[in-house]
Amino acid sequence: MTRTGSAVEPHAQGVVERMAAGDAAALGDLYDAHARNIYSLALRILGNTSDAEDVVQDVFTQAWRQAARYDPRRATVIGWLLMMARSRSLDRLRSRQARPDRTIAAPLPDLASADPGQEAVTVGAEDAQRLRTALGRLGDAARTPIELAYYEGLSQSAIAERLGQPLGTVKTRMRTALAQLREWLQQGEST
Amino acid sequence: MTGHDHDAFADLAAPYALGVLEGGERDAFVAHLAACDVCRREVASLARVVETLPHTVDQAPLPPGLRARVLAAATAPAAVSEFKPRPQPQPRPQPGAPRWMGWLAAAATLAAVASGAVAWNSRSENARLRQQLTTAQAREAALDRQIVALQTSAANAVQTTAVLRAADLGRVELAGQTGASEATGRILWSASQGLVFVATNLPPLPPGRVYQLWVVADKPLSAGVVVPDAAGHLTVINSAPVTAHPKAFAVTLEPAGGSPGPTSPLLLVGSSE
Repeated sequence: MTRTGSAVEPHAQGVVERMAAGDAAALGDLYDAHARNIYSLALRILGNTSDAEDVVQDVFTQAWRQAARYDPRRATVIGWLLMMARSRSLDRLRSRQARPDRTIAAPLPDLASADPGQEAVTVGAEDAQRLRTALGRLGDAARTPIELAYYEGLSQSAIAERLGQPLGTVKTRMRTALAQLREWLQQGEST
Repeated sequence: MTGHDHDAFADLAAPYALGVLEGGERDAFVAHLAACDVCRREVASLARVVETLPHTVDQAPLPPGLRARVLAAATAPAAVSEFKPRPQPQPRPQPGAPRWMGWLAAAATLAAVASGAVAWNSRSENARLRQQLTTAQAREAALDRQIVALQTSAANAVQTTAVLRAADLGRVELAGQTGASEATGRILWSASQGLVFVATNLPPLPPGRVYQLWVVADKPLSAGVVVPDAAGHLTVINSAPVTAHPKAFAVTLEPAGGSPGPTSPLLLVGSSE
């Protein structure tokens, strides 16, 4: 299913190294390889093509500026870009809902570093297909808390409020559903 | 780690892996992770599922013209392209003559081609004109954004000048505290005109956190949330009147969106008394 490590995408890493050296053509290569993935994720989160286009611009701008700080041990190149895309999309989603008044619009935060417990993982097309199938098997009640967390950035208490369910129910469902998806993905891996 | 510890943390690995664990729970879990191999492995294996999620999204076709716009904007000098405020519900700028003329010309040409008057080669001509129209639209959108950014920038300059001109102008230096000992800050404030706050050398923000500025009188009042720019500088310009007798100004680390009152140790403090 997934492989840990960085040797699997030497080409992509080379592109980021060229970007760090100031090679603008490398940014074009990065766009050609990954823009569609990024745009599609932003569109899924924001539901609006204009906002999704702005996210693509934000992500490639940030990638260009922070290329030298990209760490292949922490994330694959596409993983790094998708992490930025999700973060920028959720920022936009929140700023649409409630905008802090009288605060200067903030430039992009540094996402070059990852949280503890995370490491570079390569996701293949088969993994994506297996997860799509698994999500379908999961059923709405189990899938919805995961989708609200990932695509709307909602905390468990916000999800409980949205769904009108007890917090304990949401916690249990999120935990068991994610573990179930993991199990189905691993089953697929071993076959 | 004992089983008892894991009971307390068992529900936290999933929301942590999904990036939605907040506040004290998140801090406690991160501290636990540093000491617990079992939970680290649990998070890593769940993170693989989470990292696969964005690959399951339906793939949408990329809009034509986006590539050129993105590449131009991304590699533009930072001073220009960093003017990119959050989208704000501001009135659209008045359309200027040059833009209208470009549009009209493109539209008129498109109409002429579409009428079939020019049959031969109309398909490639049509495609070329559509491309021109797309480019013009992209340029218009970029200009709109620049205008909004400049309006924001001008409003901030006006507000800063109003504070500097105030008869009751006060100045307070803020000193870094434990956890941010290198940080320094400065506030210029006026009870009538608001405040201008700048700070530098604050540590990078953890994901999902912001810095929040407080005016401390009888109790702390929020004066805005802010994240550092790429160079690590913080700026808050606030036109809300400041209480006439602030005792101090302070900065804390808070969850995204800010808190009603400080929930973490003070990172920067300056007394105005």
